[in-house]
Amino acid sequence: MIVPRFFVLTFIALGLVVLSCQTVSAQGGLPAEQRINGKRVWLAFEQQREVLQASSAVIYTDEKSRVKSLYGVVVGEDGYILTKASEIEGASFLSLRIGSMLYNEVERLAVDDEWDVALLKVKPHEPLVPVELSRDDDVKQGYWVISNGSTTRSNRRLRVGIVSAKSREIKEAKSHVVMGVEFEKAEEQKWIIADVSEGKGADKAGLKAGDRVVSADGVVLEERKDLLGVLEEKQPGDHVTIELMRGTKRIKLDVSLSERVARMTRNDQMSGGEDQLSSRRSEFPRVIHHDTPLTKVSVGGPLLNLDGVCVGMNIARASRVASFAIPARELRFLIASLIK
Amino acid sequence: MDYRSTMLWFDSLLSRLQPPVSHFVVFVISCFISNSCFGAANLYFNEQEVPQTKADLEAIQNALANNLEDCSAATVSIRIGEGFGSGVIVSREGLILTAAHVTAAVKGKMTVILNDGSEHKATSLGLHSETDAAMMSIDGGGDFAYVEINEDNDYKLGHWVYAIGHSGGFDLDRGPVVRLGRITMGNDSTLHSDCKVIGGDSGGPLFDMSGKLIGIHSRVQASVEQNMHVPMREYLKHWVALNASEFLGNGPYAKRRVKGSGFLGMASSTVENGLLVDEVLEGSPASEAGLLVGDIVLEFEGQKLAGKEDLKDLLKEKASGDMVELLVKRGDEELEIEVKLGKK
Repeated sequence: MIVPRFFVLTFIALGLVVLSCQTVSAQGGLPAEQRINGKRVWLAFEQQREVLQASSAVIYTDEKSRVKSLYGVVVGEDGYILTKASEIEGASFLSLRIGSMLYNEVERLAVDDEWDVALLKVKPHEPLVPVELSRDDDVKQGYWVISNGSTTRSNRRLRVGIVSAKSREIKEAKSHVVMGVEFEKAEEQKWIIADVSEGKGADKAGLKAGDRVVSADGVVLEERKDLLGVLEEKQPGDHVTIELMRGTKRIKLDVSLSERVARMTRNDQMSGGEDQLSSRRSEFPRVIHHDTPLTKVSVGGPLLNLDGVCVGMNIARASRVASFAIPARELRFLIASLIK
Repeated sequence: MDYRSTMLWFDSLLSRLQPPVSHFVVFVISCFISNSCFGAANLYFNEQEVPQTKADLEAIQNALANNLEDCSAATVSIRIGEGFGSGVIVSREGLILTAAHVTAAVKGKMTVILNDGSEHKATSLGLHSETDAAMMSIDGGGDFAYVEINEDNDYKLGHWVYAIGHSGGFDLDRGPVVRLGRITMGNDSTLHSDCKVIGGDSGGPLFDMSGKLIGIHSRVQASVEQNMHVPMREYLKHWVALNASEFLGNGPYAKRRVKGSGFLGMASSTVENGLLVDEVLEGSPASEAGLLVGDIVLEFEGQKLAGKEDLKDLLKEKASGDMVELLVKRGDEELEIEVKLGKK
């Protein structure tokens, strides 16, 4: 058994070199810029960053194109862009930036519900640079992947990780959707809101304790099952139109739905809670599972390998340890079916 | 050239050189050996503050990919009651290193799940409740895939490492999950990395880039960059005691089993063939396990109950946190009910 012995020898020899350097216990910690997603480590990924610079889109849903909401993947030189559908659903304004060019006219052409992907279209003055889609059926576990990180008006930054697990289907989560309200318990007051959960859809839409809900998506609410019936059909990230009475005022509001979390699990807490995760993060036919620390607003963009080739499209932040991407093979079919 | 003669040759060569020349010679020779014999063992990137080029990134990626299959094969999921943790096999016979907060007790019964989904009964051995180190073994032995321990603990700040574990529990379609990072901090009993871990990963392995085991996942802080592992030296230091099923230290990662501290939470009266449940306290272990008023408890851990005294005596030998099995008669049915004893 020569091989393992050589192996040990190699290690002992390297160990001697190490002795002349500082050991772990003598240090205060690795500087932030040298950590896996530190600034200085990112410099080695400049080639891949340039691909993000040219072929990823920054998507805004506010009127002034100031607050980045999401990323997108440039898939056609004539102005086609893919993004995560549920995150822009219901947005009244949509603009986007590619490189430093801002596009204020963005058309929403089509949506694929199965993959939660929307096809957008802008009218570029010169041809865009689409990503180069990988021809491989799958990615190799342990290999580097590069995604959009933060951004300025002129510069895309990146975040890196590796392929963590086998590509696979993500089945429907057992839970269902919620608006984030609690109704009064007494039967005669059952449509009066007792409490609004902070940060959930109802809170963001402006629902308040004391409001009396009249209808949901036009369905007048009588029995408790009426509301459940409306919500039953919905996915996390979908919206429901709520009509309510506040005093004598009749108000109509659009409420975004989030996944029901039966009880906040310790893993959800470790993941920073519901706010850090994509509302829609399950029910995908096949995903690449990687460990890049994305946020719910940094999905939608391309997932690149070290050659700068697009191996997928980031579609969900799933937990503290996992982000999901639609594999290039499926993305190819999706593009063909959306662009007709 | 065999190992021993290579070593001697090395020693004699080194004795004739002065540092730093000797260090340089060792470095050059080791690079030469690793390059010429095994690409995977060329870990020059560990000496860089940060990777500089695509080739450096590829070297990291290749080192990881070369050992990943073997490291994953030895990584197991551990199921205890409803809870899931991870562990790593370190001997052919099925000796496993994991975290104390996973096994929670010595000589406890648990199930080990291999990546193909096969399940094996296992028993916890010793643990160190102050460092979170623990050992267990697969019952009956066998021939398992295992990893080597880095007994030199020769890692240092900035070295590239990877974490494997069954995040959130076992998932056959997904398999074990791997995450890359660097050593970010370390003292004698804790090793920090920016390999992101989560519940279910607890007890899983942290590897250096030659595929040797250097740590076991223990805990995290709020930031995804702060993940803590128990270094191998804590296992090696207490190896004999851990292997002999000793409970070391006093918390916080495991609580000593205190005989007689177990609590069921029901009132009963003696009837012909067992104990008739008269009352079940709300929220008690008995109630959590689904015991109902009117049930007749026939057996406790396989022992027939002739009267209330029998139950009392049997409970004296048990501790809070123990799982006990009751045989219960409900109407015409006989049910086996598992109860996790609470604290008195």
